[in-house]
Amino acid sequence: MNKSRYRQQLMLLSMLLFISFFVSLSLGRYSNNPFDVLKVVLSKAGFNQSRDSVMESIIYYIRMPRIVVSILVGAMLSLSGAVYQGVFKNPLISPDLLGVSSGASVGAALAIMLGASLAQRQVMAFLGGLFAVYLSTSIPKLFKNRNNMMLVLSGIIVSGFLCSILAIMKFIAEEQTELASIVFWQMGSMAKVLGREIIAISPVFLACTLTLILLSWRINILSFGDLEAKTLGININQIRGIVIVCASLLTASAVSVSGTIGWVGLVIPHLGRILVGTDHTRLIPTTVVMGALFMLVIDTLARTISNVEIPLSILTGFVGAPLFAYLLYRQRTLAE
Amino acid sequence: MFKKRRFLFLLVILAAILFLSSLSVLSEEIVLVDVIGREVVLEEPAIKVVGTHNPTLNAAVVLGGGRKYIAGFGNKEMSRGLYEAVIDDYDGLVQIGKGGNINFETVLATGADLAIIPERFKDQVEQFEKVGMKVIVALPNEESFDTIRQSLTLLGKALGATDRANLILSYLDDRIENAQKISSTVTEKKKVLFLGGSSALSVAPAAMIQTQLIDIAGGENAVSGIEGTGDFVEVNIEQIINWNPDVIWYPAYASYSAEDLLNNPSWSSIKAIQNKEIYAFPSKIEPWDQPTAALALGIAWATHNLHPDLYTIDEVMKDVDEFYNLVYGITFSAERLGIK
Repeated sequence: MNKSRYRQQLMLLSMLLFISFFVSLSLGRYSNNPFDVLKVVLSKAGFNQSRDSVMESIIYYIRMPRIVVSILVGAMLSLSGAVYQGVFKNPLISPDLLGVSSGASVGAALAIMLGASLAQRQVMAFLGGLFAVYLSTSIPKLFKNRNNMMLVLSGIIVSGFLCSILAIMKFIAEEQTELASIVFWQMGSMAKVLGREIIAISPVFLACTLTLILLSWRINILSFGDLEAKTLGININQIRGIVIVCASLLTASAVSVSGTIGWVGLVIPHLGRILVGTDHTRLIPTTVVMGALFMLVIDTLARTISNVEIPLSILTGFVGAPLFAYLLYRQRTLAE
Repeated sequence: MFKKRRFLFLLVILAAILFLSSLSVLSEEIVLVDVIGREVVLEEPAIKVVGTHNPTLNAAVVLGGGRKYIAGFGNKEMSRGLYEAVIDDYDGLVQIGKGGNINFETVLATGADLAIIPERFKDQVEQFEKVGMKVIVALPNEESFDTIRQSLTLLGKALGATDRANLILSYLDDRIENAQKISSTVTEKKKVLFLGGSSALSVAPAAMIQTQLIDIAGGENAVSGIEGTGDFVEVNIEQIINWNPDVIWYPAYASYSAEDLLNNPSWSSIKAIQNKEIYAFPSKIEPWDQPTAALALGIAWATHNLHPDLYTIDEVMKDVDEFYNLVYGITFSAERLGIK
């Protein structure tokens, strides 16, 4: 693919995201009229005298924060999935490879059972996710075996162990309050987003995305194989370490505010590769925009299609699983 | 000779019939039809019962005044405030499992002769029967005042406590009638939103007993458009703004507080929040909003909350004392009950 076509595609995706932002802002259970949004914006800018305070509060305190957080979470999970898949040379790897989601779930469940506030819950989920990564990366060091496979296996060990801890917590949790909260958290939702989450996760998003973009050509070399990377003078362990830290920070930050959300980090990078190829200098920006767009659409559906709030993992599963099957089918037919 | 033999034969048959029928009278066989239509035959009234579903087991606690019947429990935290006061050695009471998960060896070790389960756990019937235990499905999925009547009547028969069941039921009917009389004078009904304990975004839909409770107390459930579910459902805040309730009730055991909602800008445009009409539904010692006999107290509190001038807090406390005295022979202070 030539450079100008890639730029056109990225521009098109960005425009789609921009349009989706305004469409999503106009949709909701209270009102689906875009003119209501326009009136609020105009009155805020001083062009319109009639002020609908309810609609204003809905737009600024409910829809806007939720849309921005959805965009950030989608971008973070997709980016994390793309670089994990690149570094581990395995397209079937998702962002919770090193047990981030299980660790975050244990952290959130502990906070729920201790009666912590929403903010404390988010902090504990974040710390739980990072603790899981710390454990997963410590096991290979313990065995003095630092190859990729060992890291993947230790991720499975840590995830399995944390899942059992979570199961114990669910078993002893109070059924009507704590258990219901843990289960709902695990299915993912943006319904409790207040706005302060944007301030909490944006620095992580910006710093990690920038770092990964700067490292993107090195990730390309890593994805060729360790031998090739060494020949080209790349410090494999250092680069891989930085990528793992960035991807883990991205995933832990995302799940700490939204709960665990499946499929995004697995499917979107695949879709990105079909669109722009395996070059990470192009794949990273494309995946960020596509992930943001995907999650924005999913969350808009979650809050609008029914009176009842639909958990995000249900929708990402319904959309993501068939999409993934289609992508695999397409790749197979292309290979033939 | 032949005639004499025939006469003797008939006499033996008659004696056998009389003997067998007298045996069945002596054994006081109880035939019950549970809420899912199963026929359960008990040779005698049950003495020790087990169960894991709190509202279902509560009927046995109520009928025994707390001091009889209960041999094995499930979730021991939900009504701990009450049960600690009325069940002897509550902490020592065996926990047989939780929710749908039951350890049947523990069940057998309790020496119980009857299991009481709700319709939602009806797949456990076969398991209980396999270990040789009688089981009654005593609480249907659909929640209503009739559910409570049905459950108390059924267990009254199973435990040989029909008179006590009738006594408690007539008290409940009397309180419902009283609340209806008061609320019938109200012309404008307030829209009430009943929130769940797990999340401030979970609401009680029409199929829950909370709707009937709000109706009897002279209000109207603010939730509409969610049909066919007997459990709290998660909605988003925009939906709640759309319903715009006049009053919000949340269980006292909830994982959030009224202050959390009053200080949350997303809730600020809701009428109930603007007028600070948000109240913790008293459930400090036991829930008053579940399909149990204590719903009588939930009705009294709800009537007072919606019409404080028509039903005073002193009248509520009088009802509360009367109920706990009638059922358990005990009374609680307003502070312990969580009534402000």
